[in-house]
Amino acid sequence: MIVIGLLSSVFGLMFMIRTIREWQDQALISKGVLTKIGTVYFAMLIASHLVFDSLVWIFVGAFIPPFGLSQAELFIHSRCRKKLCHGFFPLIQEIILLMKMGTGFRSAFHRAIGQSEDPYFRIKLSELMQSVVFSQQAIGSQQGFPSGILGFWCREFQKIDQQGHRAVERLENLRRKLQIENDFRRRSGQVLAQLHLQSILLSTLYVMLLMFVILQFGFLENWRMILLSFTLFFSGALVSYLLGGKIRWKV
Amino acid sequence: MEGLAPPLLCLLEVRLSLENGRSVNQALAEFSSEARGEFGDSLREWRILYEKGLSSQDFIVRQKSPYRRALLGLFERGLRGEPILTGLNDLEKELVEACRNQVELHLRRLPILGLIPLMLLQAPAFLLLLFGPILGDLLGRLAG
Repeated sequence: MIVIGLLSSVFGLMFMIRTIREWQDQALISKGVLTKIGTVYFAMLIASHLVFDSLVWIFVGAFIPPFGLSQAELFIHSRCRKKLCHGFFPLIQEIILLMKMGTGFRSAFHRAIGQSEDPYFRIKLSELMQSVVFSQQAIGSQQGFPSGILGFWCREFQKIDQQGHRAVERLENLRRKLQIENDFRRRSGQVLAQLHLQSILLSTLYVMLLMFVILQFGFLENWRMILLSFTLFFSGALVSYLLGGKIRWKV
Repeated sequence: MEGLAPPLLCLLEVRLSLENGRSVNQALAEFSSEARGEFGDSLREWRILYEKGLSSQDFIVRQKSPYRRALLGLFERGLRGEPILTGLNDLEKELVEACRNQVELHLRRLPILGLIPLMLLQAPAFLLLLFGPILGDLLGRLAG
């Protein structure tokens, strides 16, 4: 049993190290956070061996955290994409300022990339810059970013790079478009934030009250009442969610 | 909730394309191929009517929003070869203001609308949990 426990811990550790290395290569989160995750996991592994006698708990301690982490990758990617969207406005600002001081577009772009603090954003921008600089050379069949937010920026920057005149005016127009989009996203985001906060607070209170009622009065004795209450609460939450959904533009 | 109203998004995309040297027709073709929703469908329908030489004016007049009517009218002038960039810039300011007003109105209404499910559904759910078991216990004892 000890051997199986140790083997499972070793496999779990390898799985965790592999996941962390992948995240590090893609710069999805900072090195400090990754080190902390690794340390906590290692401590959990040792604790699961020392505290629990059962093999089940050792398996859980060894495999559940790395599995959970690999599933969290989707969420992390989504968060990074949002950061990417927000990061283009300061980038454009920086490029415009540098170009107005006499720097060319490519040099300004390169320097603006260097100013960025986020490693994930820097990696993506470097790939974007390569697509822009080597756009006229056929390197592989799918050069650059064909679609999505990066595809849009790749095409815009390529046009600006290829037609050198009026580059600053084009960038300023892009910035104005971004400014309007960001302004509306911020305002409409306020609506969602209010509703989500209200919903989370109410749901937390409800769950706590539900647990208290079940522990104090029992579930089987009051199952009809609990079911009715849960249905009412869930319907209310659903209606609240739908109310704060997409705005119906009358414009 | 999405960020921009579809007519405003269309105006910004078309204006950016025009400033990048594209024609109105190319800009509209690119936007309408990707646009989704009711406005995207309207735009595609209007383009088909215009290209076939049918009564696109009637279609424009039937649009409920004055901003959409103004935008489609501008696009028609652009397709006929008239310069529309200044018109687009002016309409953009109006559209941005109108969108801002609608979002502000929505923000003001939302807390009041949010009270309806709260009072009618969620508050009774809480009361049921709070008093239900106690009342059930009391009624049981009275009956027994």
